[in-house]
This record gives sequence, structure tokens and C-alpha cells, in this order.
Amino acid sequence: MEDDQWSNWRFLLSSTAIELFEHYGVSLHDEPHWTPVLGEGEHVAGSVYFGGDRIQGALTVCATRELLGRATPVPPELPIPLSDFAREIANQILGGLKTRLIRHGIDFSYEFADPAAQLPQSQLGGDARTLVLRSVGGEVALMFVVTSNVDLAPVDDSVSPEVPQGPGGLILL
Amino acid sequence: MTIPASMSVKTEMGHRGARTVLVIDDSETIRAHVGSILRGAGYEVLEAADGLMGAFTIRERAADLCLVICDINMPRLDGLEMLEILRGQYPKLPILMLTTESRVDKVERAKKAGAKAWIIKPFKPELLVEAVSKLTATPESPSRIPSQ
Repeated sequence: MEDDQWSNWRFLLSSTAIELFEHYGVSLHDEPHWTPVLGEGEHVAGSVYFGGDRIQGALTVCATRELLGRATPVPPELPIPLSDFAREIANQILGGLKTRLIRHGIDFSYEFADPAAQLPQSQLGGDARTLVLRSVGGEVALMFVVTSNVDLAPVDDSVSPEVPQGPGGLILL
Repeated sequence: MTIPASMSVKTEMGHRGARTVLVIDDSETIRAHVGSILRGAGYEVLEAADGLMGAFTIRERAADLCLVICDINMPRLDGLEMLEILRGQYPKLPILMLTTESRVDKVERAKKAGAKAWIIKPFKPELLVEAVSKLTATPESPSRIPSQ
């Protein structure tokens, strides 16, 4: 896969993550250049695996305990680990990414075990990369490990396989 | 997948005025967040961490429930599979899907299985309360259709 294709993936991932964090009151700017991923302070991580016919991988969200504690919607008196919130953020970023990929005709499912153990890499036959995005302040890092044989073609606007309501919209069935 | 018979115990009619919501999600954060919002709005809240425990809780506590809020992507039994297993058994129990999924085909599948509403995560608390209020506005709580 060409390098510019990976910049497309990078754009999708960073823009989705920035939108998602905004919902939780955290403003992020991603860092375009290589920088040390580890910032200062105590960090917490959560990972979600995913897999499909044309793409598989994992997304790990790592953030400072301070940031997650500030952003979590859980009442402070409840002893719920911040790693669960980090994992839920990864889940919601993947949900946003999935919505954008559907417009390119690509879909995947969430996996509850390492999909590499279920689907040999040779079967997918794609190129593998690790995209590491880090916010400018160093509070948040995203590690996106993906094997894909997909070139992100221009979106076909005539195809709208997702519902028009964005996050937070109510759809009565 | 079928729910073991030993899990199916409660079949009597539900009572009017139930104010208990069952929240099914594998994220503790989401369960706690939704629970906190709904308790603040005057509801009782039960929790289940996957579709299997959700189905079990519905069968155990259907008479007490006014609403089920259900995620889709969960281990063991996902939310759509759970709905399809329970399809038609609790016609008066409204189900709200709360998920990151946005595919039309999944929305249609949920509708066929009996879901009444769909919210894509992340969500605003006031929208959730509004949706729950709309869905629980019916005068009766759920009753179960006897097994054939």
C-alpha cells in the first residue's frame, strides 16, 4: 500500500478521535511528527480488537489518569477502573471510524479475543502498519495497529449505508 | 444460542407503574453513567454485562421492568442476538439500543426483533432521559406471551 494511503488512515483516525474527545470536554490536537509517546504522569490504557474481510487490528487508547478522571462520566464515588473508560473511548473511536469506513464500502466487527489468533495474516493478505498518534500536550496517545488490503477510494455519495443521525441522535423505530 | 430452561422462571403478568430500567452493556463505565442519569431521573436501574445475562435478567424480572437499554457489541451474546432470541415474548417491554453501530441494516434488524429506538454513542444525558421518558410513557408495563 502506498504511503499516502496511510496518511488517509491517519486522518480518519485522528479526526474521529478528536471529535470523540470533544464530547467528553477534552480538546485535542494531534502531533504530526514523531515524538516520544510517553508523557509525564501516570497513564492508563484500554484496547479493543476488530476484524473483517479486508481489515483487522486493534486500537489502544492510553491517557493520563488525570485526564481520564476529568473526562469520565462516571460519578466519582463509584470505584470503576479508568481502564474501562479508556477501553470505552477506544470502542467509541472505532465506532466513529467504522461509520466513516462504511462510506468506503469497508466494515469490521469488534472482536473479544485477539483476531490474529483466529484469522492468519496470510488469509487477509494485506499490509500492516502501526499508527501512533499523540496529542500535542502528551496527555493522550492512540496506537492503531492495522492490517489492511484496502485503498480508500473516494466516497460514493449515492451509497449511505449508515443512518443519517450522528452520535447522540435519537432514532425512533 | 438458547437460554437454558433453568433461567426461564418468571412468566406472570407485569404490574402497572414499573419504574425499573435494565441496562445491558459490557462497559462498566457506560452502565454506571446510564445508571446514574436514570436514578437521578427517578428510575430504578438493574445492570447486566452481556446479552446472556441480559436475557436471563429479562426473564427473571420482566414484571418489574419498564424499559431495556441494550448495547450491541458484547461478548458471549451480542445485543441483536439477544433480541432475536427473545423476539415476541415481551411485546410491551420497550427496548432502546445504545451503541456505536450506525449501519442501516443493523437498525432494521433490531427493529424486526422488537427494538423501539436507537441512540448512537456518545450521547448527551438529557437526550437519554427524554428518550426513556418517551418510551416508558405507555400505561402498562410488560407482560409475557406464554411459551407455545
